[in-house]
Amino acid sequence: MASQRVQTRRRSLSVLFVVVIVMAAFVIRLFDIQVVSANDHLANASRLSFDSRQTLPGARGTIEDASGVVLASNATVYDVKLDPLLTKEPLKAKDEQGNEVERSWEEVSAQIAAVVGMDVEDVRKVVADALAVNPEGRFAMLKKGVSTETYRELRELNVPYIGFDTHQVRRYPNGAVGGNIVGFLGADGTPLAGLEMSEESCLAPTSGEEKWQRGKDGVQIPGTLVRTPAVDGGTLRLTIDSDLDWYLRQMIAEEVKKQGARSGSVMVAEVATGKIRAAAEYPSLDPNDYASAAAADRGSRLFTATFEPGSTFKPITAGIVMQETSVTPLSTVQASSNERFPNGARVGDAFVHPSYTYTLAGALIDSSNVALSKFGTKVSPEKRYEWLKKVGVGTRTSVGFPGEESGILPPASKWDNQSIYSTTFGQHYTVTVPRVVSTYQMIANGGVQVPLSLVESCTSADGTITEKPETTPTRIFDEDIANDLVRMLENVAAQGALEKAIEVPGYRIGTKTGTAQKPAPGGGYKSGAFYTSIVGIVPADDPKYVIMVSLDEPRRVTSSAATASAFQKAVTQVVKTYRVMPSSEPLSDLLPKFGK
Amino acid sequence: MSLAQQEALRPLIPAHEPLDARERHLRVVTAPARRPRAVYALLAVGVAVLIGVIQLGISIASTQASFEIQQLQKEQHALALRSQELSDAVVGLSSPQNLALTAAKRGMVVGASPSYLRLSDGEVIGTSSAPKSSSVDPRRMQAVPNAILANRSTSSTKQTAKGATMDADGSTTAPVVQTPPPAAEGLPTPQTR
Repeated sequence: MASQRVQTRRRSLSVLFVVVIVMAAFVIRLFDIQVVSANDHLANASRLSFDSRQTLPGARGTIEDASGVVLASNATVYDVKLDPLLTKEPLKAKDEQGNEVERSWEEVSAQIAAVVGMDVEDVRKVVADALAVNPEGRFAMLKKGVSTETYRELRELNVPYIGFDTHQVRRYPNGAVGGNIVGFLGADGTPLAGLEMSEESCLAPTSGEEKWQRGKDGVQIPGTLVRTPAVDGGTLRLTIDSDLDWYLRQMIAEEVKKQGARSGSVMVAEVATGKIRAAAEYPSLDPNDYASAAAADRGSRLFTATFEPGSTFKPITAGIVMQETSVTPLSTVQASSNERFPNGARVGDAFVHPSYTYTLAGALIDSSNVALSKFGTKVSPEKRYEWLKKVGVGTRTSVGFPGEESGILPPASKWDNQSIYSTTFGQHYTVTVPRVVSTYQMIANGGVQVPLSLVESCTSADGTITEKPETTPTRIFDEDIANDLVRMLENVAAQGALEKAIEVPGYRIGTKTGTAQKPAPGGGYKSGAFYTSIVGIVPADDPKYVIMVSLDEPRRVTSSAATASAFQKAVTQVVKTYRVMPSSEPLSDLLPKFGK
Repeated sequence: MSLAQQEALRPLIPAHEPLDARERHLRVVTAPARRPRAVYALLAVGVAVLIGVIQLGISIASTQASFEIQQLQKEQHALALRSQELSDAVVGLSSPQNLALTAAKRGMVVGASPSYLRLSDGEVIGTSSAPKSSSVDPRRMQAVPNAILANRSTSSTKQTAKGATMDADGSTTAPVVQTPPPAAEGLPTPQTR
C-alpha cells in the first residue's frame, strides 16, 4: 500500500520535471526571440512581410544669394534604355476604330528618334549593336539625361520596351554667376568643389524609406504602409549679390581681354560686417558645364592664388609705424629714388626723382619704396613681424574656402638684409586677395577687423535657421590711426597718378595700387610681368565697401594703371547696387606730399 | 424487558412528532414562460451577419479609398511632371546673363554713376549726365557662361511651337494676350437699353 503511494508521487514528480524542462526550453527560446536576437527577427519580419519598398531620396538643399536668387537647385533627368529582345516582335495595338494594328520596330524607332532628337539610324544601331553582342539581350542604353518633357513624350508612345532610370542632377540657373564660389557636384553627385563641398553638412539630405504589402494588381494593401520620410537638405544663403557678381564678372572679363592679362578678379566686401558681396573672376566657371573648363579654372583663384602684395601693403607699414612710434602722416624722411642702405641692401623707386623730403602721406601718394623703407625700419623687424601676423598675413581667412591658401610670412629671424627693407613695401611675404580685402576692411572700419564671410545662414528643412557662428571682431589699429590711414588713402586717390582714371563723380574714394613682381620659375623675379591690383574704400568719408580689382600679368599696360578702368567701373556699380549716397562734403585740405 | 432494551426498541423517530408534520412542502413548479429558442438563434446569427456586413463595408470602403489614393497619386505624379516640365521651360530666363543680353539687344546700356534727388530741397546730388556708352557689352562678349541658356537656344525651335514666338534675333516674346481696354473714367459699366 505504502510503496504504491511512493510510486505515484515519483511518477508525478517526473512528469512535473519534464513539464518544467519543456517550459524552460520555451522560456529560453522566447527570451532569445524577443530579446537576444529581436532585431534580426524584426528585420526578417519586415523583409518577408513587406514585398515592396522604396527609398525616398531627399532633395539636396538649394544655394541662394543674399536676396534669395537661386544659384543651385535640383532637376530630375531620365536615362532612356531599351529592351532589344522585345523589339524583334512587332507590337500589337488598337487604332482609333479599335482594329488590331501592328507597330513594327521600324515605325516605333522613327517615333523614338523624333522624340529624343537622335538620328533614326543611330537609334536602330543601338539596338542592333546590343543584339549583335547578345541575341537575347534585354538591355541597351539609348540616351542619358533626357528632360522631363522628353520622358513624358516617350511614355506617351506607349511602348513596352522603353525603360527609364530617374535621377536628380544639380542645376545652376545662373550659370557662372557665383560659379567659382558655389562649386559643383561630380556626375555621381559627390560634391567636388566650392561651397557645395565645404557646406555639405548643410546641403546634404537624409534619405527616407517606404514599404508596404502589395496586392496582385499592384495596389497597396490598406494599412500596410510604413513610411520614414526623407529629410531634405538645408537652404544655404550666401552673402553675395548675384546681379553685382554678374556685372563684375562681365566687366573684368572685358578688361582682361583689353589688357591681354592671364586672369582677373574683383572682390567686394561690406566694411561693417565683413560680408563678401561679390567674388568675381575671369575665367569664370560655369558649374553646369565644369567638365569643359580647364582643371586650373575649376576652383577660385581669389582664394587659391597667392602673391606678394607689394604697394597695397604700404599703408599697413604706415599704420604699424604710427602705432609703434610717434610718426604722424606729416612726419618726414629724406629719400631719393635709389638708395643703398648701410647693410648693403639696395632699394629703388618706380620712377626717378631727386632727393625729396617725403611726408608719410607723400610716401604713400608717390608709393616710394625708399621712403617707406626709411619709415618702416623705425620699427624693429620682430615688432613688424608680430604686427603683420596680427593683421592676418600668413593665415587663411575665416571664410575657410576649400583649397584656400594661407600665404607665407617668414619669421623675422629669416629676414635678410634686403628683406628687412622689402617687407616695408609688401615683398618677401605672400597673401591672397581676401587677405588684402580683410586688411582694408579693418582700416576702413576704424581699426576693427570683422572676419570675412561668404555664408549668411543655413535653413534646415524644418525651418530652423542656423546663422554662421558669430565671428568676433578684433581691434588691430587704434581708431585715430585707422582714420589717419583712410585720410591718407583718400589723398593717394586724389593726388596719385590715377586720379582721373579712377574718379567716380560725386564720390570720395580712398585707394592704393599695387604692382607686385612675380617670382620666376628659376628664382628671382619675372621681368615685365606683374600682378597688378588696386584696392579701395568707398566712400572715403563714410566707408561702406572695400573693393579690390586685380589683373594677372596685363600686357597692354603692365603697371597698376591697367586696373584703373576696371576699378572705376566696379566702384560705380557697387554704389549703384547698394544705393550709396554721394559724398555730401568734398575732400577738405589735401595732405602735403613734402615736408620742410 | 430491561430499560435498556426498551430504549433500544424505541423507534428512531420521536413518538411525539406526528408523521404528517415530517413531510416536506413539495409542490409542482410550473415552467416559466419561455421565449422560443429560435429567436435567440436568429438574434445571434443576425448579429454575426451584421458584424460581417459592417466589416465587409469597411473593407470595401478602405479598398475603394486605396484605389482613390492610387488614382490621386497618379494625378499628383502627372502634375509633378508637368511642373517639372514648366520649370525646365523657364529655367535660366531670369539669369542676369539673359536679362542683360536681352536688354542690350533692346538698346539699353549700363548707366554711369548715379544721381539722387533730395526731396527736402529738391537738390540733385551726384552727376546728372547720361552715360554715352555702356560700361560693359554683353553682346560682343558673353563672358559669363551659362550652359542652361546655351541648351535653351539649341532646343528653342521646340519651345517656339508651344505658344511663344521667336524674334529675328532669337529672343522669345510672349504671345499676344487679349486684355480688356483700360478704364478711362471710373469703373466700366455695361450699357443698358
